This record gives sequence, structure tokens and C-alpha cells, in this order.
Amino acid sequence: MPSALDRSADDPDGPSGARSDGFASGVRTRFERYRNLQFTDPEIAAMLLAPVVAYLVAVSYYPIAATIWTSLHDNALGLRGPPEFVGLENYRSLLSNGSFWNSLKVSLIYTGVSVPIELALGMGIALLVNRRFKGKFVAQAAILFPWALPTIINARIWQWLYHGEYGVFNDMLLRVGLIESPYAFLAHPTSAMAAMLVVTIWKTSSFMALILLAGLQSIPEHLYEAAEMDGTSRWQRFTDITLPLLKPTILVALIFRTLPAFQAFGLPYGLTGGGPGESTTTLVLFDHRITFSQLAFGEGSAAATVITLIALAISMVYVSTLYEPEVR
Amino acid sequence: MRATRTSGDDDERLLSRRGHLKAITAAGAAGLAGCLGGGGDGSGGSGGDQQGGTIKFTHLGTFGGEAEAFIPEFEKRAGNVTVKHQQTPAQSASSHDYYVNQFISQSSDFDVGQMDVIWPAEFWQNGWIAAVKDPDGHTDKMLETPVEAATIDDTLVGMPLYTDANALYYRKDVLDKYDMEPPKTYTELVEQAQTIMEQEDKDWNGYIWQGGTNEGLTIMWLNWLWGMGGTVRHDGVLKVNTEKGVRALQHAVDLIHEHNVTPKSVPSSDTDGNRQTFQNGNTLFMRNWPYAISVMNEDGSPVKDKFDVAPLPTHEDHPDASNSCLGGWNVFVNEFSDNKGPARKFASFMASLDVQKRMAVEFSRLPVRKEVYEDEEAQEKFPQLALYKDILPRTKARPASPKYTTFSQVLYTNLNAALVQSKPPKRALDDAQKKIDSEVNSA
Repeated sequence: MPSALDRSADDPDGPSGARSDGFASGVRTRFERYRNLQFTDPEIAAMLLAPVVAYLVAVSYYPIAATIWTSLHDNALGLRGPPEFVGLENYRSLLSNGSFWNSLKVSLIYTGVSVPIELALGMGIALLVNRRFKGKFVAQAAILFPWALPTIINARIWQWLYHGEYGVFNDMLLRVGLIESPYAFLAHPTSAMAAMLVVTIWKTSSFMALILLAGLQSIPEHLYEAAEMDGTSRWQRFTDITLPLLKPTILVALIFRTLPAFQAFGLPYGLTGGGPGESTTTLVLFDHRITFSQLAFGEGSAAATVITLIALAISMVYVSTLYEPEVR
Repeated sequence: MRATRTSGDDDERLLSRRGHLKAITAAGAAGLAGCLGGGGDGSGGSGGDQQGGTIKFTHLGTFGGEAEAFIPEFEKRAGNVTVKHQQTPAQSASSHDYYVNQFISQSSDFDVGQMDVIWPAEFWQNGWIAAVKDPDGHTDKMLETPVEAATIDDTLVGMPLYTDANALYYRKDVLDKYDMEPPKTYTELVEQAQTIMEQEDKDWNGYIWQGGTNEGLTIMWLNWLWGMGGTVRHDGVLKVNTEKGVRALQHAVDLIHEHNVTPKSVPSSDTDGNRQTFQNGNTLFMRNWPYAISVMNEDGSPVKDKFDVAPLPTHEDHPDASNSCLGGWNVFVNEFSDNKGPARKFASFMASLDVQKRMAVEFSRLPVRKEVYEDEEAQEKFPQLALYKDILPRTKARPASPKYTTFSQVLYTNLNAALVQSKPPKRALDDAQKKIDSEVNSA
């Protein structure tokens, strides 16, 4: 900014002169400037930012506002006459809906169990892949594969692997003699949840690893060399150099995984359909159900708003506990 | 604080900025044009009842063979119409979600679609579908029930495509070996299955049915309820936690956990998954729709010519009870379509005699036209047609309600919880009733 200030002081036609001539000539000089495509820094900035702002408004802020609006109305689609303002009625009926609390519990378990395991596994993979070895590139590409497959396809593949009659897992367990008759993995509440967790951990640990790997690669090598010369152990180097310097990356990785895990939809939709009963019905699957199958758009939007608020709260907790502005 | 860049040194930079700005404006305009262009093309103009052009038919995943067979036929007959087609999942509920999504955004992405027999009230009352037309009087020659189900407020809102009834699939070869007739009662079915499973060396599944969290489970439970002489309609409201309702569900739970004739994987199964399991060759009994007959008789199928169908059993105290659920599908015209003329023509074509007969003979779909049931060629090539003719009068429709989807979803979620013994049957149905009262009966 100082350079802009200097130039403004040198410039006889600058805005300070125009201002003293009164409003009308101010407008005129402004138009003249515009006609010559001459703009001030803030004006250029506004123009360059406008498309992004418009984009954000269209795809982010407008939908959020519309969702909140919908959550405060009955018959928001106008299918039976005009929408009717009902205040917090939709929230009241949401909070008294047992299925909502059940799905909240399912989502919390799903997130609480999968994310820490993914972080640990992802860290392990990242540390392994970060070493120098032949075929490193191939290994890096390979660990990304599960993550690159679309969730719904993963869900279908695993549904067949888990199949209660002729799934691969049953076949293997039967051949080894661990079980006597096929086990229906997806037809028991606990094993269905476990089955879903296995898939998501398999799928996203590699994603976690990729983010952590980027962080690892930015840690200067000389720190390790110096530490080695001071006679530290491998574990000390990990806890005193790697972990502290990786903290911002871990923050990003946790946010990137916790929020999608909390908003899981594709996996339960494709793998278990939320069953048996409602034992794997996650929050978003529940929301999808009441919104698009039962057409309760008001209550569905209320649920969406609540989910957004919880997600926001989770990110706040992460940022306040892990974020250190001047860490590097 | 503003700085105007007019001094000489900055001319060059201004010029290059001017260039950037132009580039940005151009890109923006192109992007905008792209957006505008996207919505308009494809459907060809805004004419209401023009007769040519391209239409798109959206159908069930399991209707693909039929679509491939009949679309060229229609194009040949219509002359100036091209039909593209796309499919929704094999499951009714997922297809429903797809259509609702499209309708809410007033999509004209498809012109004709395939509608389950339980949707017309909802689709029509929400203004999502247009009336179909029947200039050739096809509906006069149809079975009454499918036409009634597609008629709302005296308007034909969908062209009946095929009707559906449940039947019991059984392994004829195995039952013959034990000198058994297909079971007539629930008890008989259990006894036969247990006898055979005990005596055979191979691991057999006794009886498989739709037990997963989907529409199929609602239908299963209704079948048992009706087979025990029960009903869900009581004085204009839907009641599920009746004594007979609990008994019906208890029977289902017992099949899995007490009689051990139904495998424990059934609570995570669906219609076509059942068909695949039965087709694999180690299952004695299955409840399914007619389409499975032609699929399982294809060359290479392990059960080809080894199975047959019979009416579903009932409770021994109610031998004449309804023991089948009315299913079936209609062709509807999308209200937001720009090409309703050819769309209606296509709907009408699918109800014509040739199509109906071919659909029965080649795809084992139950025709909606009465005369096909009397047709000798059709009877010969689709031997089970006569049986279904007897089953059809004993089918019962699911409760008509604009909130049927909610009713069914609440019900099958709770039924499923009972099947995996998360809840006892009585509590599952009490829980379901509570929700049905507040979300369906109160509306």
C-alpha cells in the first residue's frame, strides 16, 4: 500500500483534488476515468473479486439462506397453496423425533470411531511412504486408489464382499473353518455398523495419509540431522520435531475428515440402506429420507440447519484447540 | 486513500490490465451463455401437442430389456419420433426419490416415466404429471384394478403398463423328489422346508423373502397380515399394532429365529437380491414378482426349468384370504415436458395389444389387457399366465394415501428392527403406530 499512497500524493488529478470541486465534477471525473479504463486499487479489487463473490452467493449463501427460510415454513414448496410461516415448529417436531436422536447417535459413533483410527493409520502410511525407497511414486499412487473410487461404487463392492450368502468374507471364514454357517454381516445392528466403519477407514486413511505426507515433506531435513547429532532417539524426533511441526497439517486433515464423516450419506445409502432397523441411519441419510421420500421439506431443512450448526461447532473446537497462527 | 493510476510510467500496466479485463469479461459472457444454452436444448421447442421430435423415457432398472425391445418398434410406427431412454434403480423407493427430485426442480429432462401403482395420487395432486390420453380406447379392454389405480379425480393420469402379483416360487425338482405339493398354509411351508433341509446333504435356504429396509418388507408384512384375515384400515385410519399385525410380524421373526427356515441375511435383502440368491440354486422357496420367471429361465441359469410358481400360502384358518399384494406400473407424462404429444403417443403405444402380448411372452410381465390372458399363444409361451389369472382376483391393494411413502417407510424400518431382534414385534409396531398417527393419520 505505501506505493499507492506515494503515487496519490504526486498525482494532481487524484481524488483529493476532485473532492474539493464538489460532487458533480467528482462523478464526472469518475466517469472519465472509467471510460479510459482507469481504476483505483480498491475498484480493481472489487471487480476481480465480484465473480467469486457472485459465485459464493449463488452456490453457498443463497442455499443456506433458502434452507433456513424453508425450515421456518410449512408447505415450503407451495404444493398445497402458499407456504405458511410456522416459526420454530419444524425444529420442535424434529427434536421430538426419536429417529433424529438415533441418527445423531449413529453419526457421532461413526465419526468418533472412524476419524481417530484414520488419523493413526494415515500417519503410519505417511511416515512409511515418506522414506526414500524404490517405487515410491507407485506406492503413493496406489495408496490413493481407494479414496479415488466413488463412495457409492465402494459401497456396492463391499456389499458383495459382505454378502450373507456368498460374500468373499463368508467364503474365506468358512474355508478356514472359523464359522460353520455364513454370517450375515449387514443384518445385525452391531456388525453392520462395524462393516460400515471398516469400509470408510479403508477408503479414507489413504486420503489422511496424503495430506499428512504433504506436511511431512515440508519439514526441513536439517532439523532431523541436528537432532540426530544431539543423540536423540527416533521416538523423540517424532514427538519433538515431527508432531509439533505437523500440527497445522493435522488440523486440516482432521477438519477434512471429521466434517465429511459427520455428513456421511453415500456409504450407508449404498451399503446398508440405513438398516437393519435404523442402526446405520446417519444424520444426512435421515435428513434425505424425511426430505425426499416423505416430502417433509420444512423438517428436513430444520435438520439440515441443525447439522450445519453442529458441523460449525466441531470446526470451532478444532480450530480453537489446534490452531497456532505463528507456528511456522 | 484512493490512488488513480494516470502517470506515464503506469500506461503500460494499464494497457495490460485493460487486456485482462477484456479477457475476464469475455470469459464471463461465455460462461453465462453456456449456462443459458444448457437448459434449452434437447427438448425441442415449447409446443404442446406437436407430434414429432425426441422424447426421453425413464424406466426402472429392471425394465431395460423391455425398453430396448419396444422403443425401436415405436420409432418405426411413429415415424418422426426418436426415443432416448435412461434407467432409475431397480428399487421402487430409490426411483421415487429420483422422480421427486426432478419434479421439484421442474425438470424437463425426461418426457415419459414409469410410475409405481402407489404414486399416482401423490404425483397428480402435486401437479407433477400430466393426464395421459387414450384415443384408441385401450383402457376399455383392461383389467379394472390397474385402471382404477391410475385414475385420480376421474382423470387417467397414467397409462397402465403391467400389473403385478406375488407368488411363491418353489423348486419343483426338489418337491417332486419328496413327493410334495406346493404348500397351502404357513405351517405347511415351514414343515416342508424343515423336512427337506434336514434330509438333504447340501445346505439349503428354506424360504427367502424381502426383509430389508425397503418397500418389499411392507408388502411382505401386508401379505402375512391379509393371509391371517387382518387389515390395516380401521375406521378410516391406518392401524398396524393390532393383534393380527403383531402375529404377522411374529411369524416373520419366527421364520428366521425359531423355525430356522429363513437365512439370517434376509433382513438385509431386497427383491432382486432374492432373485439372484434363488437363481444360484440352493433355495427352496421364494416370494417374488412375475418378472423373475423369464429372468431365471434364461439360458445358463442354474435353476432353468427346475422351478415353478404357486399362489402364496395363507394362514390355515383363512384359506380364502387375499394372499397377494397388487403391484404394477404405469407410464406417466411429465407435466414439465415440452413434448407431451409424442410422450402421450408412446404411453398409449405401450398399452397396445402387440406390446402387451410380447411383454407377457418374452418378459413374463402380467399384461393389463384382459384378452392376453385368453390368448392361446401367450398361454403356451407363458405357462404361468393362467395361474396369475387366478391369483389376480385375490390381490389386495396397499392402503391408498398421499402419505403412503411415509407410512411404508416408518413401517418397514420398524419391521426390520424386529426381524433382527432389536425390538420385540409388539414394541416395533407400537413405535410405528405412534409415528403413523402423528405423520400420516393426522394429515
